[in-house]
Amino acid sequence: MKILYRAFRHVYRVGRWVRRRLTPAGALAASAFALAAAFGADTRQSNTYQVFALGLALLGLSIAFALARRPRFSARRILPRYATVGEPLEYTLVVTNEGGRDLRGAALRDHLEEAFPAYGAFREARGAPGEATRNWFDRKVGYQRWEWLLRRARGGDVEETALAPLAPGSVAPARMRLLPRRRGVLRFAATALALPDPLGLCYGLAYRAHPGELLVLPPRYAVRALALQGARRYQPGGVAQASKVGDSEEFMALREYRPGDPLRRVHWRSWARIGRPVVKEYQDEYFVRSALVLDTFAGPQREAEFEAAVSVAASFACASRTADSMLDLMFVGDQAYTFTSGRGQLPMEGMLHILAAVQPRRDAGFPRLARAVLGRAGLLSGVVCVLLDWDPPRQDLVRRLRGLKVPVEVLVVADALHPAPDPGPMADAPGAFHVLHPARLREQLSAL
Amino acid sequence: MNPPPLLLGAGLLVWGWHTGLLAAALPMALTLEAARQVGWRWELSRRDFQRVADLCTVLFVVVMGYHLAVAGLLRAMFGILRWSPVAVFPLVLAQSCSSVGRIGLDALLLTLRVPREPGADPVPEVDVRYFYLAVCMLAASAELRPGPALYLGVAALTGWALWRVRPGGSRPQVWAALFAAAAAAGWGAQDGLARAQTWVEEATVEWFSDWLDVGADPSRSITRVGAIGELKLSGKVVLRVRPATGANAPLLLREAAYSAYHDGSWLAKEGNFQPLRGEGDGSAWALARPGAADLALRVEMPLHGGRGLLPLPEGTWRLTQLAAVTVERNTYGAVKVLDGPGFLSFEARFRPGSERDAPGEFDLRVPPRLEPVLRELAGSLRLRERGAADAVPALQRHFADGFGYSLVSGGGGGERGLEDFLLRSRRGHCEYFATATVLLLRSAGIPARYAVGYSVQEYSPREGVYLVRKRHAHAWALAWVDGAWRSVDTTPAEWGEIEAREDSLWQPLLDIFSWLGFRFDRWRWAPQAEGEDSPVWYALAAGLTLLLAWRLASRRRVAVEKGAAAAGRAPVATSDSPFQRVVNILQRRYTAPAPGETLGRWLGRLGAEPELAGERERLGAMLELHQRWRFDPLGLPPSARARMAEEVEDWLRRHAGA
Repeated sequence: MKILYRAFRHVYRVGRWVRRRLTPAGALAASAFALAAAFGADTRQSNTYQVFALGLALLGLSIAFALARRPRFSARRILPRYATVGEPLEYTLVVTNEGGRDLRGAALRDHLEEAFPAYGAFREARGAPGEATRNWFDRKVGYQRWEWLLRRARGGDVEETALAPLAPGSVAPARMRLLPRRRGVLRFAATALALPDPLGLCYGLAYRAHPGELLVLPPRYAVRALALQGARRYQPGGVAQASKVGDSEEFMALREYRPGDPLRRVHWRSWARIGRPVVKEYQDEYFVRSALVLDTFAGPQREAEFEAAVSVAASFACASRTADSMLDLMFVGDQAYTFTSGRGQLPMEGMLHILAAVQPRRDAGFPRLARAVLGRAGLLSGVVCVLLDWDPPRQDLVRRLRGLKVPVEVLVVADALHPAPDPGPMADAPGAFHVLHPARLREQLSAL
Repeated sequence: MNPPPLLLGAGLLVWGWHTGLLAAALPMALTLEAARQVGWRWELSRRDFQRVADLCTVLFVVVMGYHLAVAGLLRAMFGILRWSPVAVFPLVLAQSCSSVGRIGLDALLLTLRVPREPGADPVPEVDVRYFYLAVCMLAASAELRPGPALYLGVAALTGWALWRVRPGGSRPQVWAALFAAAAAAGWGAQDGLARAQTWVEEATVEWFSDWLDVGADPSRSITRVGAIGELKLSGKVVLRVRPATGANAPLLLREAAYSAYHDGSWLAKEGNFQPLRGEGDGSAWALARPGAADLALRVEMPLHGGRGLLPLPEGTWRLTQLAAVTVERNTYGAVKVLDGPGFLSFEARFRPGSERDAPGEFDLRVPPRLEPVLRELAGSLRLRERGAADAVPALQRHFADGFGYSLVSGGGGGERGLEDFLLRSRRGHCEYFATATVLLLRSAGIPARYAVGYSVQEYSPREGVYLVRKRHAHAWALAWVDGAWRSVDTTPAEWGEIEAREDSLWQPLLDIFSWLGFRFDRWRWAPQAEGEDSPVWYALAAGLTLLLAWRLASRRRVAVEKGAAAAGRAPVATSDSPFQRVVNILQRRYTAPAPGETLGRWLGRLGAEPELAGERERLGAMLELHQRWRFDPLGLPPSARARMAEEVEDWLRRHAGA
């Protein structure tokens, strides 16, 4: 396996080196040249050595010209703030010709950072798209898996763009097209300009280190707004949680200062009047607070389902909701996290940032998430659970939430739950229990 | 980019002309070029392309199997290369005649033939026509013909193809000068390569000449006389012998004879090989003068690497049906094939007692260390007094009476081992008996030689031939009796049975495999009744092509729009939209959309042209209006129509004259 891994590294590196330097015609000529080299080794067996000689001369001359014609340029990248997985995106590269010659027929390339997967990651990696349907040889050798890991690490593909003719010293914008393939931060590494030689076989290449970053958000789908049938709940944070909207200005009384009271609550005029610190007391807050619980405990080979679950969570996080409601996003990463949006807390974009970075866990630690959710159950008007399975621990969480009179909506994202599983604790609320297939998210979410 | 008309046809003709397969190349070229002209295309699905690719694979395997069967690996490789345009042809034809115009990579790569998940990237598509041109050029070069003709042909085809795909920024004069320089440099390079190979070969022969002549079998035989251990020989069948007239087993087939003995090794001193001259069609070889009454037998054997020694009966004077380029014979009667096929089936005519080459000085020498022992033993047997004719039977009786055959031997190094065999152990294998016989005869003043080869003793009723196995390898003596060399085998007759006991239990099964292998080899190396240019192959190719044609003919055809077809281009839907004028100009100036290609994709592709690089957005905007004009059920508002007309006019003003 390790030999294969090393071989893949070398093969990929050599292939990339060749692909970047040869035009399609050059690649065909080089292949024919290599074949002619193999067959033409003995000049007394065939005339193939003559084809080899012609190929040698053509490629040699092309390479010499390509090396002599490396363009000089600088580039500036103008990126949008966000991208979304699977949605092509156009951005601009502003190119300046810093050489003394016209740039005609040049191709502009923007390279994303590439990192080879570690051997352990390659060995353990399973669940590449379509892996189950591949033949025995492909599954054993695993080159497609290697390519998939590499593509995933790179995060996207940037199409090569033809650069308009550029006179010396002039500047021109070029539209680049990027297809993001995974969530998270895409890192740009370099910009390259490829100028073909006059025979059209090789490129003269010039690289400019050109770092940059772009945040790729998970795909979102249209879903209805959260409308769980829960009552408004007492929120001990009071006005500090509700500084801008809702019941925040419900003044109740004045009282003496107690250590720990925030300075902003000091009623200065009363203090001046009676000589002791006095603070304002507000009515405690009651409003709608929902939780969006994301199950991150994806077992091995469930990459697609986890990504689908993140998309479902992102879709609900973006769904419109009443201005005075709050939404807690809860999941377990390296620890249990709760992020709150609404009522002046984290904006929706912040929630998407977090969802863009959330990573799956391979262990079986779902009870940690259950504890975190149950610990806040008293604050919650309702809970949307985006789950990756419908096993006893998950059913137990739902059962206990419902036991605490918290309305629950369950969405199980799985492509292997056929036929539909027994709703268990959700049997009396079939409308709030949904099984979603990763490949049919759009239609299933719109039908909720 | 589409190859220019006639390019592929020209490539096929160059291939056919240089390889002598013009009869195949001409119809293929005509078919491909005609495919550009016909006014219809087949609607081929991905599955159809996969089937055609599979057909190509089958053709390739047939070509490969045939060439591997009838030729050595090296020649087979060139044979496969030579026929590769035929194997790939169905795929190119399918692409040329299909409405898609390109081939999905899943047709060519099995690893891509997996169910596609929704939303997965589309399978990349390729145009195999330029690839096919490269295949034709390489296949043409598989034949060796002196002169510049092929180089000129390949250079012209390459130039034609490269001109078509030259980059937009490349000036024609610069391109032409560069290509001419490359072609000239290539011509120099191919001449240099041929010279370099000659020089390297000569230098190699010079450098390694000291080593090249050492250790050849016919000049040296290292025996296991005196070696300690058990002799184990395999039961693998190495020869099949079919006696023709009068010859019966047991029979000895000699590969080589040696004159000088030194410490366990026999050497053929001054046994230089001289080439023989073939007779008639080159398959008959005379080794000596013809005799009156003679015997004959047929030997069938594999010849690894096309070279080796021939096992021949005593007194062989003529070999017939021996298909070899070079045959040599040395002074001791060993016959060597230097350049032959991988399997031999020849007839040897022989007359025992007819080898009359005079003995040499080495044929009487005995090792000084063994001389006292040998003299004493020869004296006790009174060999010298008996004369050669009686000494030989006396010696045979001596070894038959008190000696035994054993595969296990012991007792010291070369000459000490032989002394131990003669005086004490009296047990050994054939090399002991043969060496002792030769040396005893010599010590009695009778010229003798050491001979190695095979003993023919096992008849196979199933095959009707004698089987000679590796364990039948034998050594015996040649004695100069009555003016001729005669075989003297003193090894006890039971040696064959003793060795047969060592056979594996699996031997019968192995014999069946050996027979199958033998039959295959005989078919593979038989003189070619049906060469690769045989009508049978043409008939097979025609049959397969007809099958393919019938399958394709049953497909749904799609008409190609007439005007576009006449220009060799795919159709573009017409409309009254002003944008059509832009499309027409772009088509004329660059390239037409591929069959099935949408206007949007086509314009995106044209965006790679340097002159249009800055026009992408503008063309995109015009295309959007054009699409609305054509497809929007509410139609395009008058203001948008006016804007579009203005855009188009402006574009035409700037580009019409360019």
